[in-house]
Amino acid sequence: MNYKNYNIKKFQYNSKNIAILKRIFKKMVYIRFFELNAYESRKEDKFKTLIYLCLGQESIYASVSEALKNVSIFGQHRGHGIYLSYGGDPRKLVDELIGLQTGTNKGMGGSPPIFDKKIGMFGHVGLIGDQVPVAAGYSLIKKNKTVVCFLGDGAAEEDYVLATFGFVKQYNLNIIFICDDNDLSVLTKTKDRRKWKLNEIVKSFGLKAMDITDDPLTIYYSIKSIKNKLPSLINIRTCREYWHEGAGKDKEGKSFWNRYQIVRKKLIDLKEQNFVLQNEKIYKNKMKKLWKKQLLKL
Amino acid sequence: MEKTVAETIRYLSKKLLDNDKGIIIGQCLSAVGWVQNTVPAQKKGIIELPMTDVAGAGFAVGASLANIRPIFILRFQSFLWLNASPLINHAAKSKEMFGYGAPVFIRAIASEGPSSGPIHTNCYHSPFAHMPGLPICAPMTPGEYKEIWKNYLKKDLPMLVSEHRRSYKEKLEFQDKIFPKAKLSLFLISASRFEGDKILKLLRSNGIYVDVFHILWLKPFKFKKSYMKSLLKTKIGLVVDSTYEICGVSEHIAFKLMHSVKGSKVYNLGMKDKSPGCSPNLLNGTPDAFEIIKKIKTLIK
Ligand SMILES: Cc1ncc(C[n+]2csc(CCOP(=O)(O)OP(=O)(O)O)c2C)c(N)n1
Ligand SMILES: [Mg+2]
Repeated sequence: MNYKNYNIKKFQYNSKNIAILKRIFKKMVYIRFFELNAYESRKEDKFKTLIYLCLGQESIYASVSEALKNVSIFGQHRGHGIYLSYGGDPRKLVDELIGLQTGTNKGMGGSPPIFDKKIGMFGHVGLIGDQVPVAAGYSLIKKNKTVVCFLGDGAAEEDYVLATFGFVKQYNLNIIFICDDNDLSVLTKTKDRRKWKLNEIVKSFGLKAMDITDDPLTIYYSIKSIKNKLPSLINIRTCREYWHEGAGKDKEGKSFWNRYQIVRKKLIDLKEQNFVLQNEKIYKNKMKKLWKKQLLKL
Repeated sequence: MEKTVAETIRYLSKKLLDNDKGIIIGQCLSAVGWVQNTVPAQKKGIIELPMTDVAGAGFAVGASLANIRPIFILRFQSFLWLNASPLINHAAKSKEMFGYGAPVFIRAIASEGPSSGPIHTNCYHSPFAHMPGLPICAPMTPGEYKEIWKNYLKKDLPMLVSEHRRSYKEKLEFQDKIFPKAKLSLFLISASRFEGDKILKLLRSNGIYVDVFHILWLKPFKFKKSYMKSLLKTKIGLVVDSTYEICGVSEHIAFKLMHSVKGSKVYNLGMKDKSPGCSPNLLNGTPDAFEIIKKIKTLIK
């Protein structure tokens, strides 16, 4: 099945929604060009740390960060998009990925542990789903802060993740889970791992849950509609465009879609071509320069 | 043609599956290169797990109670931590508590280097050695793999096999090396064993000789007469392992050796007591030939 339009919402493209879409797209461009540079430099073997690119999934982080502000954030190993769209310092991220002392974690772990206390983001240790009970424990004490916890469709299967859904409902915690559902755990498809759907399981634990595609406005308004009904979870269908880890491109099968290109085209259809091209040009240059400058430190 | 370690594992596993004597159970087995080509590329007998790193081991242990031989694969040894309880508290204790065995064959795979990082780097056999009922070995050659497999099939006990990715492409067998003029007895475990020849060569160019022993069984540790003889001669020993230096198997074996030969001093070497990082200056892995030689030189001074 192709989930490109799965539970997509139809919106009027009035000035308000166009403005929201533009803000989200701008972040998508930022993430995309950051990641494309990471991909190129890694492909050229300029560094060898663990890297998990989020190309193809940019709309999730761009949209969530627009809809949910002033939150505490727990991410998983594929967290560049979260870090960047919430305002983390891109230089420190490059430095971490290329293994420098000046990186977010002093060169400790490549992508997984990146964090920035200033933006409220905690680090990930590298064991999938580990962040989920930890985010719940944090939320148990920090009741006044909304916690957003990202996880993958693979991590959703971890025993301790499933147990967490029961716990957050028991204590009615102020936490929202965002599942980046790229239908892959490394290269194993969901159908080879389980028969259940995350949003249904979570509902039976008593949480509010939704299952949608990665269309920006659909994500944005789904969050707006659910954010006062926590704890809840949104499962977002998306497509990983590049390899699980390292620099390589995945095969694009029948079920693949490229959300970046879809949003880009939509904006052009909405007569926002100048905005699109201008931002692409700006971020293309900015990110290229940034990577080049940081790589000189190696 | 000689088989590599990976081919040997695949061959032994395939025989088990094809004879309906067992299963292979683990995460991401088929889609991800068949676990470095150590798993036969077939449907029969292969059980894909969801990403459940606590219950996963329980499924494997349960299968072992049903008169089959499950091979439970952990693609990184770090997953041992999450999967520990069913292995340590059920499989390992089953024989003593219930009188029947739970013969699960646990393949825990170590890797190291810049893309392994703080969690997934190297081996975690040491904490498991602390607990009763679980034999532990670290085969690095095709012949050793066959030996431990035979041993496993003979008994109805679980076994923790501490594998290392560095061994998979190897075809060579190791032999202990003994020299009349040796000044130190060197005991190598896991990936440190691949440094043995280089150590000998480099030391020899300085006119220094050491005896080199390859350790396969970590628990129970099998004393050989040659170890005693060597230590009686050198009086100094060093045990090296691909895991943390303190509070682990290498320290334990060093202690045992030291007590078995009066007047000998046996030391140990391994990863430093800090989390390994990806960045070159934070790497913390198996001591290489140079580190081992440096230690040897301080000991024989
Ligand atoms: C506890 C644990 N089990 C297994 C792994 C190996 N592993 C690393 S990434 C990954 C895929 C996880 O899939 P998902 O949560 O969907 O995240 P994605 O990579 O798709 O973003 C797996 C299985 C791990 N790191 N930690
Ligand atoms: Mg996934």
